[in-house]
Amino acid sequence: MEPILEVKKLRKNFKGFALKDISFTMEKGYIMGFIGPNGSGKSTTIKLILNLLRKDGGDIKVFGLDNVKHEIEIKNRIGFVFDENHYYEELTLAEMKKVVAPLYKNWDDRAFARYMADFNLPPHKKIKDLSKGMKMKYSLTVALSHHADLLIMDEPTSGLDPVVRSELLEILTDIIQDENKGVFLSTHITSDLEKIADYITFINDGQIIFSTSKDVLLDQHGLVKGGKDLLDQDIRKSFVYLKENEFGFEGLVKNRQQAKSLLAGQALIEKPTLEDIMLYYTRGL
Amino acid sequence: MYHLILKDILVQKIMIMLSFVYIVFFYVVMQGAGLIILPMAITAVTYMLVITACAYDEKNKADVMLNSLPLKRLHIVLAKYLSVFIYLVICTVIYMVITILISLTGLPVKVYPVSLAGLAGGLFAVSLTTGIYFPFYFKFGYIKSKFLNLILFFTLYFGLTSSISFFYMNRDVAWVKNLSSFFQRLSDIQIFAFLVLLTMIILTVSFALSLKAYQSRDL
Repeated sequence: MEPILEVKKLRKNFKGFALKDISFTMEKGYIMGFIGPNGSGKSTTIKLILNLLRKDGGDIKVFGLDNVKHEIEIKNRIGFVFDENHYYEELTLAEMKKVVAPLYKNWDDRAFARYMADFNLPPHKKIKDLSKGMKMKYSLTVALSHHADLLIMDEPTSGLDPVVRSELLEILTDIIQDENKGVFLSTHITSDLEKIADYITFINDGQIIFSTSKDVLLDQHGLVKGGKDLLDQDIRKSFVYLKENEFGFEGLVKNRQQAKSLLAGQALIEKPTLEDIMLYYTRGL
Repeated sequence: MYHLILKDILVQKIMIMLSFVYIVFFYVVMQGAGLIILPMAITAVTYMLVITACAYDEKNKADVMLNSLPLKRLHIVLAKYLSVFIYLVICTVIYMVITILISLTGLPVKVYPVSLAGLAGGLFAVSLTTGIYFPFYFKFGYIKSKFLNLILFFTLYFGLTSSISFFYMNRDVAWVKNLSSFFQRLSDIQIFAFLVLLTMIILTVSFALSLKAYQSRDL
């Protein structure tokens, strides 16, 4: 089966920042969370996938097609939601739809009307008068009204209240019931991903640190807390990063089972959260 | 592409309504200018609408959104160039309506109906200004091209008037004489054709530059 999104040795150089030959693959039917600190290259990667930036090297394939050569075909099947709303603030929702709808081959007016009603969006209100949550829902409405197979979202949950955020997560879970669809979403709110993501791709300073299944990630890693007397040279090496103070240490290990067998009964070994993993990896690099 | 032009018109509905007021203003204030009112008014207002549409694009960071839609950059550039002609038509219609209204109401304002020469002059001036402006806009965006905007506007106004007076002052110099007698020998249609040809050359070169700039731009 063809991956829905495939990035191979993607390179982009800016002054003072570079995306260094990054690669990852996403199969259809899944939600992939794209995490990393601010300025690590998340938005750059997304813009490269959408051909908003010119790449300096590598390959991007969406639905198995080159993203530049088959740009129009691909974009007909992609829905996008950005952190900032990039629609025209001066237009009403209905006017904006009038502009966007005819551009899509598979635009479905009935789906649009249904989502507008479901999300309680007022068609004759100007976009600038909407709350941040409603703007996001409008972007999502447009993205869903042309039956996109791949949703690309750049920080869709940032700045949203918990109620709207959880609504969005429910919608995404719903979408992914269709096995032919996929969601690629970048965020730094990792708790959202804990609920819905199947795969996690972690980028730091323009490099992919890992791209793997969320469950494997959370099951394998371990958060270890204990007294400093436990730490010897060998044990120190097994940590991704170690925080020490006068009372003891706290650190992340890649292999929880191994840590358990080494430190059984002497240290507290827990399942980490995605946030723990992101924090320790960022510091440990 | 038609929908991109529709978008430019929708975002500046108020501005288009205000064009009516601007053209009335031109009509009244520029009475002394005579026949040049028509090209002056439609050029200035069309150019203003072009710039305003570009400003709204920049304000809404529309480049990111537009290029995420199933659109080619070629379409986005082409739509901007075509919109110029739509504005030109809108302005001409407004000008005609105002001219008719003035004649009907019998206001003490001298009317200058739409003429072929006036339209050709307007078309040429609009194409020249937007033709210079667009490649910079597509390369650098609205904010960075703003400076150029100012220069273009002043060049259009002061350049046009000072070059007219330059030719008038030097009307006895040989090459100016030759030039003016060359144009005097041409018929209106020939001048019109000449201006249209020049306009097409300017726009073609400008379009090619804009497209090249926009296609290689990182958004």
